[in-house]
Amino acid sequence: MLIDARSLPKDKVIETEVCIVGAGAAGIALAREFVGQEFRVCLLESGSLGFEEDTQALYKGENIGLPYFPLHRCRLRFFGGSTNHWDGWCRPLDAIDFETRDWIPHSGWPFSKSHLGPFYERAQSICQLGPFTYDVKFWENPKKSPRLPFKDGRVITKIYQRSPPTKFGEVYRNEIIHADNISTYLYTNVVDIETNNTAQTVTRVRTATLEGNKFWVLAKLFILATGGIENARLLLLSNKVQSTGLGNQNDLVGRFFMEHPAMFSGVFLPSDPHLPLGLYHMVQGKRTIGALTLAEGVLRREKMVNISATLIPVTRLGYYYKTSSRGVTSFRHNLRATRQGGAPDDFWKHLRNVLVDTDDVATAIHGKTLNPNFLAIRLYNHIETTPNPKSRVTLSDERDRLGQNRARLDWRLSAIDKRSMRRAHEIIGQELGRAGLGRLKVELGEDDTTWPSSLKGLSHHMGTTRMHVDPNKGVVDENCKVHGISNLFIAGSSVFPTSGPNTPTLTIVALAVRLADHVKKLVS
Amino acid sequence: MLHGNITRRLFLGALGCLGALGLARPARALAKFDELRSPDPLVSNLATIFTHKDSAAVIGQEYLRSVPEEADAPLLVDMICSSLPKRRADLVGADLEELRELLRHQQRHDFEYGRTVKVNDWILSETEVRLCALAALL
Ligand SMILES: Cc1cc2nc3c(=O)[nH]c(=O)nc-3n(C[C@H](O)[C@H](O)[C@H](O)COP(=O)(O)OP(=O)(O)OC[C@H]3O[C@@H](n4cnc5c(N)ncnc54)[C@H](O)[C@@H]3O)c2cc1C
Repeated sequence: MLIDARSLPKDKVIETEVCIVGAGAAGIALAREFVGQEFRVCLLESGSLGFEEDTQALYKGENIGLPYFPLHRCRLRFFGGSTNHWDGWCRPLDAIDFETRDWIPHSGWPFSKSHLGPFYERAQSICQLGPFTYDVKFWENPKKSPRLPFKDGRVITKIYQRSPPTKFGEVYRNEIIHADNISTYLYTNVVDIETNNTAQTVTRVRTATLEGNKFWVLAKLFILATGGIENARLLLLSNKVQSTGLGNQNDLVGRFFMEHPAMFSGVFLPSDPHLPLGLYHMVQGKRTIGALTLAEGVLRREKMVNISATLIPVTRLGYYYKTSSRGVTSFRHNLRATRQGGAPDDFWKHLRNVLVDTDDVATAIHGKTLNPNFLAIRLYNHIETTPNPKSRVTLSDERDRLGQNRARLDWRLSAIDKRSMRRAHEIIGQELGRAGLGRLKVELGEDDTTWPSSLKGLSHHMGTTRMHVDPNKGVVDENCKVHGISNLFIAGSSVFPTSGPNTPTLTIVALAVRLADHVKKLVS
Repeated sequence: MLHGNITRRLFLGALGCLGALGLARPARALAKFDELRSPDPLVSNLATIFTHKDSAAVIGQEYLRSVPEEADAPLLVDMICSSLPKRRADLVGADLEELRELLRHQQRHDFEYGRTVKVNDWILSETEVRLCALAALL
């Protein structure tokens, strides 16, 4: 059943067994699992079935940390949530991402990757991905698009699969709205989570529409699935009984915000301009992509966070390099000279030009004389970041149209993140050289605190209600239940204790499916 | 990693500090090299290893700006030869192709054992930058 909350009578009280707040990847994955169950489910969604500016404006917030997207531009507030504009790249976290690593403060999940395996497999089909294998052997074509032949496996290739990308709100809408036991309320903003007077049990949630309508939902069990920033915001806003915010007895809610810092970090100049890189190229319609990463042993030995580097060919002069630079002019001059004397066939020639002035000449040579579609390869990196308690979501003094304090984001990174990234490039550079594949330029600077100006996030919001068995160290327990509250659960990447370098949505869905199994047992 | 990172900033800094000395050094070394050129065929072999000597010389110059103490041809030849698997005396008789192969092998070996150096942020092998430096001194 689909209900427009604006048409409900004033101050209505709705009763149900399970109340899910938010219909994005996590909320919809949960709701689907409950279709046909013996219990009733209410799915409360702030938006409608399509984008509306007024509702989206509720996501506006403040950025006071590292440069970041405006908060209403890096997520979507309507049925389907941010999957309405996600890119669909998926990969489970790597095994090492789940481990407690003594060089990464606050690392470690309460379970290993193998525990999540069966849930990942279910998530794989929900995200409409291909066969559930991320083995490079399965995806590479050894003749046409082999992996790069690194020696000794210090640098390895990993595979991401691409979802169509599944718009959860479109693909699963009918299944959910036609389920007899599920009522979906649109235009429903949860504004407060109310508890008993010891804040140990949630009694009901208060909701409001932008038109001023209010109603309550009473349930046995509540699941917040409003996204990595909003889950924390909603707990902090629910402060009538627990004045610091629900579940925030240890000042952890909103802390440990993690994003995947993504940036151009290096240039790889292959010795052979015809090096087959098809496995790594991101081409329209392609369902897999290869990326470079380091072997677990290297990460352990070097005490690094995990990394992932995609290879992006520079195919147009001027995309990255300025055509008017001195380097290009001298290149053109050189090229004329070279044409008279023969084709530039020597890597040193290219490297010379690179080193003389700018980095564009080598690429220009490749582009003009060898393969017009190939200039050089840029490394686009995204890394795991160290959980940092100072990187956090708090409440801003500014309020939204519903009178709620907006989110304030202070995104921070740590020195180990930068050090790891630089070191990773040194290792990749060495291994490219060792395998005779080419040379790498590292574009990261030498210090551990500044970041390239190309630094961006990937709209992956993680960590703000982190999972830990110990209530002093986490907001939710290993079952995603908020510590100290008997019937409040959280779904989404806000529960990730560490981010890993891989995209989060497959893990979000795997955790949602796992939580659904747990809830089914609890409610029945 | 040899000499750590040689960044653009360090290059400029080193230039500022060394002033004319930094530029004068290769000239002195060149004189030494000239003295050395005729008696040691290995040196001329090493120095002609590049098909595009001009390109190599530019990399070499960048390197020598930050490591001026290596702007000395006999020293560079010694350093290059000491890492090769053949004795220097045997190397003298080696033909250009054999020498090239040995050096290529040594480059890979450098990368394998982290004997790399950053020149203008490019990660290069010690052997290759020293060969470039030699080319720069000619
Ligand atoms: C441009 C872009 C590209 C991306 N690409 C990828 C990718 O390639 N791979 C990948 O893994 N991830 C990607 N992501 C991230 C991915 O979209 C998210 O990880 C995923 O959608 C998060 O799911 P969620 O259910 O936790 O939150 P969301 O999908 O954001 O859903 C939250 C839902 O809660 C609702 N809501 C919020 N507040 C309230 C409230 N108070 N009351 C009621 N409802 C509320 C919202 O309207 C929304 O529908 C991308 C994101 C963006 C923005």
